[in-house]
Amino acid sequence: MKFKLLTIIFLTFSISLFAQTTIEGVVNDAKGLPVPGANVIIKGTKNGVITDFDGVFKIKAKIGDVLIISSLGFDKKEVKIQGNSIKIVLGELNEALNEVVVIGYGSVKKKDLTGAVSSVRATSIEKGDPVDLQTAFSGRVAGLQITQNDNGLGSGVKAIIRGGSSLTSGNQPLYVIDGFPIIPDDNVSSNPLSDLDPGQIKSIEVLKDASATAIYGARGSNGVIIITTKLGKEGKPVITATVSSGTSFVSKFPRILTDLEYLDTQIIQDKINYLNGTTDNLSTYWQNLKDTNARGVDWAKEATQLASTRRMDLSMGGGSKEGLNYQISGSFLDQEGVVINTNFKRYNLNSNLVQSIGKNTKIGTNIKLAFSKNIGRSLDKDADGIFKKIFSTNPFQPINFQLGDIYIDPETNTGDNENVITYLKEVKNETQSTRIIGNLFYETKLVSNLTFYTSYGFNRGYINNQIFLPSTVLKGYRQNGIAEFEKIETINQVLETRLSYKKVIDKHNINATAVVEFSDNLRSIFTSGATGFSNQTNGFNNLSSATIATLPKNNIAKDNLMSFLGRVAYGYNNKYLLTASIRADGSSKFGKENKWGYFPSVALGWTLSEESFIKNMDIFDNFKLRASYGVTGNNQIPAYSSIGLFGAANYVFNDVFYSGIAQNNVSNPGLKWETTEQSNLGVDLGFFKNRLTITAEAYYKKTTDLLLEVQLPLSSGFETALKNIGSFSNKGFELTINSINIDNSNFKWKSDFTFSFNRNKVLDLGDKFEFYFNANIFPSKFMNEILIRVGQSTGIYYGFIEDQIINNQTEAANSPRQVGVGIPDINNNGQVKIYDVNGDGIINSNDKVQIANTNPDFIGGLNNEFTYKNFDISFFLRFSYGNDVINGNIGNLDKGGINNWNTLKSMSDYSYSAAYNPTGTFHGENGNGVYSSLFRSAYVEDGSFLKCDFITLGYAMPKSIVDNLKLNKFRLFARVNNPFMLTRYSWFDPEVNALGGTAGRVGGGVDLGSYPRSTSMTIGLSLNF
Amino acid sequence: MKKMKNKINYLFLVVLFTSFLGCSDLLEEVPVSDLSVENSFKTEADAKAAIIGVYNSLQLEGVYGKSQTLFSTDEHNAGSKVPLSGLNLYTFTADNVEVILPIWRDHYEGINRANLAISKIPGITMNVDERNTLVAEAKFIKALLYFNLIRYFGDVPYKYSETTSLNDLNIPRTPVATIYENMIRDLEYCVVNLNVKTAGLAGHATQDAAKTLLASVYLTRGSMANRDNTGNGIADFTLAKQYSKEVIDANRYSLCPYFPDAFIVQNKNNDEIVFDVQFKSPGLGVGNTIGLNMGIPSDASGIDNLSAGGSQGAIRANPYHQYYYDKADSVRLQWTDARIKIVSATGKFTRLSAVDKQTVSAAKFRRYPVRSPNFVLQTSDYDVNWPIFRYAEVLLIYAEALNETSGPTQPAIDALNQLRSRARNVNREGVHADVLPRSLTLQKSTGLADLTLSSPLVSSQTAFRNYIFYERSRELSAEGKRWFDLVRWGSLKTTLRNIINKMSSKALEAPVVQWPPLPGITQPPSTTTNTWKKYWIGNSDGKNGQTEEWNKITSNVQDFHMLLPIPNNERLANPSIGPNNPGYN
Repeated sequence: MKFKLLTIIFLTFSISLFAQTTIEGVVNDAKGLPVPGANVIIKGTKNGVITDFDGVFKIKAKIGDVLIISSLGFDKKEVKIQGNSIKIVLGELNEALNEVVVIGYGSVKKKDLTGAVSSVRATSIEKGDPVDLQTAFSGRVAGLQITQNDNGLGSGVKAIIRGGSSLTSGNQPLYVIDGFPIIPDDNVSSNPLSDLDPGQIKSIEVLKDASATAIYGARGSNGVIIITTKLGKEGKPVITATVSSGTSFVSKFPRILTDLEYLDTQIIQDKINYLNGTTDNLSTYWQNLKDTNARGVDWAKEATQLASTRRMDLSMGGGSKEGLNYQISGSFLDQEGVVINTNFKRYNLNSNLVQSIGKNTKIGTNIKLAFSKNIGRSLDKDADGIFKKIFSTNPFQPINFQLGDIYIDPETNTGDNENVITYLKEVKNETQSTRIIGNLFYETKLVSNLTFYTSYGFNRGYINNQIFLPSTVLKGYRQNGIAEFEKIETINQVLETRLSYKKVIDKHNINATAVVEFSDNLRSIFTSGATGFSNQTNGFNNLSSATIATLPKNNIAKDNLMSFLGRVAYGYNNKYLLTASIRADGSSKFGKENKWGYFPSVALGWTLSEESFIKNMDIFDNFKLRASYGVTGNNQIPAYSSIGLFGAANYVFNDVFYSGIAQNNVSNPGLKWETTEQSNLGVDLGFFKNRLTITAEAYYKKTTDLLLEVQLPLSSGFETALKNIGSFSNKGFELTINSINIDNSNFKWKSDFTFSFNRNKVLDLGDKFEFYFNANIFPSKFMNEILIRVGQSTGIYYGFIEDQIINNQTEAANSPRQVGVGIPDINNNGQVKIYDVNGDGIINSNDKVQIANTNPDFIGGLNNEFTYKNFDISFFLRFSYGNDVINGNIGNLDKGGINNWNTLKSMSDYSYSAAYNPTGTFHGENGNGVYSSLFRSAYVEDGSFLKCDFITLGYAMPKSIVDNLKLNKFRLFARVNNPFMLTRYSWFDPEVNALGGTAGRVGGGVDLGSYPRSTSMTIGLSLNF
Repeated sequence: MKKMKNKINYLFLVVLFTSFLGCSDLLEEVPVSDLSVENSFKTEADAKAAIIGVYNSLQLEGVYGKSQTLFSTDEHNAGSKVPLSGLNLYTFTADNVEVILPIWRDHYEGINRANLAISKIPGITMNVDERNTLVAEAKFIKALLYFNLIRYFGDVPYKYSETTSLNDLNIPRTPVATIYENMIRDLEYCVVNLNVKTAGLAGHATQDAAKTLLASVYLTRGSMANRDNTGNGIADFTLAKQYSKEVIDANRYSLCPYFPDAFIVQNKNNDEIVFDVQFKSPGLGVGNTIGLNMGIPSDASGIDNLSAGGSQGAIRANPYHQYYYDKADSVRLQWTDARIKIVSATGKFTRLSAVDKQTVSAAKFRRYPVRSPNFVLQTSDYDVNWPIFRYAEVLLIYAEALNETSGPTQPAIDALNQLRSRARNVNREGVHADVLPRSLTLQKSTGLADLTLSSPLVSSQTAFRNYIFYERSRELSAEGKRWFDLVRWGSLKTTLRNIINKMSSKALEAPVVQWPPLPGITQPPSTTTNTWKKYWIGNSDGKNGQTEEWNKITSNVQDFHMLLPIPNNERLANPSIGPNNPGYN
């Protein structure tokens, strides 16, 4: 009662004395420029406002109140009100150091970081306005190599951090999306990242060294990528809308012969074939065509189009202190492909809600829904891929020719007589993907400094692939239409409980975390199909018209992971930092004898710039040395790998089908994870008030107990087994430079540069010296192209060296015979001669040498952002040097004379160049109807490149207009994606990887039927209100 | 508020606690969709599923799925466009991954499946007789696979039991003699424990199948002893005679009255089949490629070739093989070395001229129906069964064993006369539309005459042996028997080399083949000596003739080719295997 009375007295008193008035203020930065959107709150209350475009605010407050002013990128400031107007100058945050970096199971200020972690911020990504997240951070993080499948719509990418840690097992990093861990499928086209809306990303952190990744234990050895989505900030709701529209076209076509060049070549080539005594002389046919000025079809032109892209993002975020913070968003992308009848649509809905209950407790949920529909995605990426056929088709086939027409006119036939336009128009090829990632968390302070956090999350993905091949295309022709279905369902659940403790005592700063985590993963694949369609109009949607069913198959895999982990970070006097962590992981995937693994790490940091002798030098604003060592694991093997599993082995008795079983693999109870030990040395430097920051890292990783598919004696009844054998190392160097080059009131220029290289080496392969792998470039012909050998790196291709063309029968007789290598030992005119490396007069597997290395010498990126008054311009360059690409697309284009295929211009020129071919023999099929089927140097090209990913020009509408429209922000932008690329590579794009599985990991760099790269021009606007 | 917070706290703790109950179980793997060795072999159904898996190994590529009959013999060879790394020209090496590696790999895969069944099934509680039958079926397949392996490779690692761990997998080669002993012991178990043939058991190994396999095993061991001069083989021939006679006397089999009916897909599981590999199509994954590799070619190019019901003609009949047949033996000749092609436009057949450039297919297993509206082409999913033992071969084994033990005798002649008598039957019921119309019936007057003891073909043991040598080829051509026969007789090299001599001499004279008049068929043009010469020798430059290829085959083939090389993959992975067979690196 006493107190109530007292309160009333005080209240009355204060009303009389400190009556609230409207305080007007302006917030400027150190250079006197206004700071719009800053939060101004009266201390101890929930009352707050936000500054307008000119940094001006009005707030009802009393003299003597304390205002808290905060804004992103500035130091928080508290100011006591002394008059009715107030001028506040915010000091720029020492961004590089006070930035909060998300790490595993927590976050840390950059200045306290001891591990190698790179961050990419939304502001930087948004400049490129990427349609997918995967390419958004390519080139922005030193030590991260993004290899894309190809330029196809919604195509997946593989992220490889520091060269990966595994030789033949999974090499993809662990993705942690808003706390939810996902290891992407080995199938690069079903990457969870393709389902995220890049507009909603707040930050991406890439965890590279063991100090950062050991906390992820058995899944950490390939590095970790943490993705955090946006959450509304305290204050009024902020609505952002971005709309853009663009047009794309094929950046570059491979140079094949034009229709007229083709005619000339056919005329000459036929004569040569005739000389070989093998074919009827058809050159009169081609000569007649030439005489009548006939023109052919430009198949590449017919198969491609100007494609439009539309995109819309809408989001609303906001919140209140100790209330609800929210961010809800929706986005829509409709992207046409540059190849006709290809299309990608993606719909996203996200909601991120955090409710505070009292001061100490928070409960929240984060749900992301994504639905996408991709038409034409899985067009065959193989030796007979449709994008290859576009170029090899004879230009003088009529555009509307049909299967079965052609054998009547052998002159005009092309290979297998597939009409690529018919194929693109009539094959129905659809992938639908639905994904829900959701989690629910609860966090409370148990006592001061000790926080309890628990969360439950799940990730459910559903992919539905359907394809229909009608009888108008080759594959469907024989069977009256084929329908194929594949449904892939994944469900992952994670339950996590965390205790974290933070305390500052004097100069001691302690931060400890303990976590218990349990996850289970279920993956199910179902396939079926049908053939013999009596009515093909509705394709795979009309199964009732099918006459024959393909036996359906399913496969379900389930695995569990149980983990206990802890981490302690200790700092003394802001100078000396220590982080230590340990994780115990129990994985069901490993053998009975090795269910549990333990993964420790330790890291030290020394902030020299806090030492007086460095401070006195007055050069460094930041100078920190870091060193770390730790052990991580890799459990990316399929479930049930350690047990002897049965597969289907069916049979027929008395014309009745019976299903049976047969053992697929030998059980291996000792099977366990791969172990990677990694050491890292890093230095962080800041100069000129941290306008220039440099981070350099050097690392060495050694992976032992490699999960290798070891060849078994076949007499065991099995071909291979997964065994922990051998070791492999990666070492490298990474450099990141961020610089604000110019910072005037009107003009600002900011650059970010990354550079890295990685060298890997096979150290041990158990009792073997080398292993061969098939790249499947031409499955029936090329074999064992990829070699891993102790002492060498991965990405090595072995093959034959292509010599000149055999010009005459004498030369044919004197050329080395090719024996035992897949073709009859016959040499003839027009055939490729193979260099006899060991000079023994015959060509056999002893003449194979290294002809390609697909690993780059170095990679990097350069981002530039300019701001001049209301204009902003940015562009992003990316480069890779020294990597070879195996161009499997030229397989048919290099052999004129077979099936009237078209030919590469360069190959044609080469065939006639005086140096290599004095008598003008055409490079093609030899007289016995056989072409060299050896994997040889002609397939290898230099894949080095310098690319510009985008150039963006933006214009922020001046305040007068924005105010009139009652907006906060109104920006117009125009952007060119992929404006240019410098490369010697002849096909669409040297950044390509058609290989999946083990071959993709040990070899990679193969281009086979890739989708064309496109250049696009986009205009759009972005509103904020 | 505080209460609610506590409630939530408790809720989470409870959830947490329950989820970690029974931690250790969570890491145990129990496959959801597939069975495993650990959790199978508990019920009768498990045992039967495993035995189906054992039979399935017969369908593997390197067993009877694809790679049979690819080695060049006097009957046929794989065309030069199917070089298979030297397989057709006898230039293959231990690196051959197209055919030789699959043979080795897939036989051992089947052996391991059989061993697993043999060791695990006896532990299952079920009817003892049925259980013994299942074990016997696994032993039969194991014996059959080892019989193939020792004939292909000689000494090979003998596996007494299944592979259970990754340790101790380096196994040296076991002498052939030991393997024979084990095979014979297994087959003797089969003779007792397998079922007796009934109609419903088609596809299963039976007592008679085991006896036939035993007879074939003894015949082979006896022949090889002769070949290698390690004995006269009389004991083996006696046992071969005994087992084949038991099958004949049991009277459960008979020849199909019309030769083609033994092979056509509509007549699966006929009474002539003692044991075969069974297939079924479409869409079940248990079909084969026999119709793709062997069959009738068509006059269409590209895909229409196959759509018209034709084959790729990968296995070609040698032109000389037709000279093995008597001119009265036209049913077997024309069914086996089908000198016909399909006219794609009409789906009808036309006859190839004697020297047509078109491939003459080993078309015994031709596809049906040809060019019918319901024809759905399944290139690798054809469902004709692949015979391993026909009753015809039982008769041949019996006659041969009898001749080896006692010389020409009436019972041996009687057995072979059954084959000659059947070859006289033409178009019994007029059922099939083919180049062999069925309006004709038994051609007693023009057909093959029965052999008698006075026939010069049977004048001595050697003459009779020679007759059986060719009769086996006439009867069993394209059934994957010839290469094994040439090897067991030791005449691979000499037979192949003789071909080029005989063909060249034929090139000097007009070919002797006489085509019997058949209604409704375009008659072949008469062949002059010159066209034959051109066919055989080729152009003036000696190119594009048959001699070019045969010169290579005959100059390459050596006696060491009677064993295949052990694939390099095995030698790399299994250091205990030792040096390769002679003649291979």
